[in-house]
Amino acid sequence: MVNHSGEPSLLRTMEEAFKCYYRPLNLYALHYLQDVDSAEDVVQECFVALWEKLHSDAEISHLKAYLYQMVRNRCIDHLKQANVTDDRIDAAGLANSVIDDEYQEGSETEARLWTAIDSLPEKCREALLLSKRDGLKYQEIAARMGISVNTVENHINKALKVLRTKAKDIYYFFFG
Amino acid sequence: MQEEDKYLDFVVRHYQRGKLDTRKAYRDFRNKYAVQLPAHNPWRKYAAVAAVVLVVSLLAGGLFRWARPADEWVVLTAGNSAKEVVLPDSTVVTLAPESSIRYDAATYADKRNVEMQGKAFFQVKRNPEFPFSVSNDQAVVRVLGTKFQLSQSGQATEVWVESGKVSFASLKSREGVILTGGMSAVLAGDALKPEFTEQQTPNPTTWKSGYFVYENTPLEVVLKELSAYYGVKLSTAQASMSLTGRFPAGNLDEIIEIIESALGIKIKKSFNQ
Repeated sequence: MVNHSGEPSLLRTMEEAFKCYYRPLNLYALHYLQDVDSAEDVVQECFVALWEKLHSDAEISHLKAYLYQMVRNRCIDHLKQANVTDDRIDAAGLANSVIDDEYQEGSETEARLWTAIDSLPEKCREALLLSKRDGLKYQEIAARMGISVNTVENHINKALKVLRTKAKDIYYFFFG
Repeated sequence: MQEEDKYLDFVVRHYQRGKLDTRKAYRDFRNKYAVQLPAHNPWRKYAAVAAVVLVVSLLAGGLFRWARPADEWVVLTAGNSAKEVVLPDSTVVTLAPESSIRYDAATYADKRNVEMQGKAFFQVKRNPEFPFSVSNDQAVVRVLGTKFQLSQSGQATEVWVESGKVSFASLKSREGVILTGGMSAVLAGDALKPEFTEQQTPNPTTWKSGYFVYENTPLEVVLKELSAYYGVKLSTAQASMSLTGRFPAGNLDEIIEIIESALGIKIKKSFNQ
């Protein structure tokens, strides 16, 4: 339930909503949009819409469900507007609620992982991203970072170990 | 393992350092949209009626000003350091870091109203004809011409007056108090009316002036002020001594060293939880 007793408490509601849902909602939007900047734009728009909604005296019975629904609708609008013909997201896929549930459920785990990557030691993070994100071979990473192949492997293994643990730890802070 | 790696692959593929910064997103939101909206404005319901009346008035002439676009807000924000800004009537506002004010450029001249968040010190140009007012999401302060400071921390708003006279009222209850030079009051989050407070610190505007100035000030008071300013806990066995001096607010350890050697005492520093 949302408290409507006045402006300071509305701001408190907003701050809480940002803390709890900003990152998960972005990860959720990312499944649709495949672009971090667009996801941040859409999610920020939704928070502004929520702020206006809170001022209209309307009741929002389930804040989280409301936000996810709004983000989803706006992502789909965004894709339609951009006239995206990306085969990762076809029209049938957009209407597929089974996949959507999966995105929604995964988004908190993914938000925790994002935060966990933020807090990795710098070298670990760099090695991990060069390998898994940028697709470089261990040898290429070693050359670029000026360390041995063995060390690259250690960094990546260490990073994966930390991330796998933190993904499961539901008490791990996912908002940065 | 398989399940987590699916999530991990997705996150790593999109990960960009510094993106999805929740605090920054919230700050942007506040600065742009929530500096202060009128709290549950009872007039909202009558907006449609007002629009009709407005059109009629417009036709009657004279009120053309109301037809202006509603986007003439001027927003002034301080980044990491304090910033001094001058308003159209030569009122000078010093904004503390991460604080901001906004005003409506079209009506400022005869309303002299600004909205703010965070902490700011005001030197208001005197003009009895048009009182100056500043509000945050909780309180409103009205003045004729004076120097005062408004700061919001957590759910409380505090006003300290250096000189002149101000009225300080809750937005919710409209109940207020009058403050004059040297006085301060605080409006707690759930209170209906501000309460007078003893000025707790000798230097409420150090963040602006950059100095702590003490004149025969009890060490206990000095340490309390420094502790609050730097977010630590300072204590000494010789709290009854007094201190006179002027210290630049920079490195706390240097200040401690100077006080220690000047008074020949030991100061203990610990960190709050």
